[in-house]
Amino acid sequence: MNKEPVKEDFLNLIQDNKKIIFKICNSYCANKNDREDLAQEIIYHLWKSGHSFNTDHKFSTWMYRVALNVAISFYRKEKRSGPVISIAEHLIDVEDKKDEHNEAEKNINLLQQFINELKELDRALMILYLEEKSYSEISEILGITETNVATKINRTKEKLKQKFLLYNKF
Amino acid sequence: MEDIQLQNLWKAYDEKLEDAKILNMKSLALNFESFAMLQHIKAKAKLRSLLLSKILCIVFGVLFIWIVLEILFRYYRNPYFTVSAGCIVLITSITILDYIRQIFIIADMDYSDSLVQTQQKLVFLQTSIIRSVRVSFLQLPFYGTFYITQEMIRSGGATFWIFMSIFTGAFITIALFLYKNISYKNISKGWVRSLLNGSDWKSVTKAMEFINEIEEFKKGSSQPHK
Repeated sequence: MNKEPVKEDFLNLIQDNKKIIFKICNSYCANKNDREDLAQEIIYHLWKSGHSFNTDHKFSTWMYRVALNVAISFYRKEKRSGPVISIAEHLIDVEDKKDEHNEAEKNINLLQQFINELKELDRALMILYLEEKSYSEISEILGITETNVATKINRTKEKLKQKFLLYNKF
Repeated sequence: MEDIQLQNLWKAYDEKLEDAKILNMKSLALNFESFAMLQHIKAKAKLRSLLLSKILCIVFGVLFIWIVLEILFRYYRNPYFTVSAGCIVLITSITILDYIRQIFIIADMDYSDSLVQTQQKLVFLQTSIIRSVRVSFLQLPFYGTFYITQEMIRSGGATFWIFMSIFTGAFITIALFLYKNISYKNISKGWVRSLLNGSDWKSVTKAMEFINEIEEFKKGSSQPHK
């Protein structure tokens, strides 16, 4: 197989899953430059780890594992790797300006903020739950039992609801 | 708030991203080769510096063991020297094996493994400095016994035994104290940090805390985030 179609296929996969990559970057990086740097690392690791994808498994399971592992490792780095490699134009464009006047927009921002306040692994769990992944897939991605997934989802959901409740109270 | 509301909010977020220009695919497609190459160089440089420090530790460790074994070969008739040198070699070998294990882990690192598995491997690597320093200190008592001879035992008298008891006893106490206390719980203490000289102790502390978080996560007893 020559290189071009592989690259094309890969870019198509990135195009199809760009919202997921963006949401993961946004959940693990508050800073815009870091977000862009993380997006580049995720895309690179997906490209580099392509050989490890087993067609017997779901593509999304593999992709979430790579993207979330890279994101958690990136988040845990004490010092970020410095300036983002410029590739002509910015890879990820994010609007930092948030329309707080719109109620729905405000709740979306609050949900993002509350997710960002969770521990790294709980954050991954919540993203997967909100992306409507099955318990069995979440368990496969995280490496914990399905029962544990169910317990943790309930606990984390309650935590998020409490935060919304507290916010609305004050 | 109901579960469905949380999911609806996430869907609304998804829809919001539908219209937003979040990933510059045109730029990525145009510059893909240079992007991949630059990222590859960056990753390779990181890997090289990580491996270099491990390989250097192994080389120095093996060199040290080789010197000790050379001396041991000459003085093996002295049982005190043989036992002391043997223990020093054994403890150094444990540290070297840990470094070799780390190299295998680095070589085997696969981000498509489950999150728990991958993150456990990463924190194992990040906390290696604590393991090697605390294990190395266990050699300390044997530096106080290798020079003992049968002659000293026979004719040393009370002074010799009092001196040896205090000297070796102090070394054993210090070694056990350091082995017990060099841990992430004490990493905020100045003396522990100075013993871990050269390492990024903040990263080590965070890595050790993350080990506990992973264990809690596996068990299902995660505490609220502070």
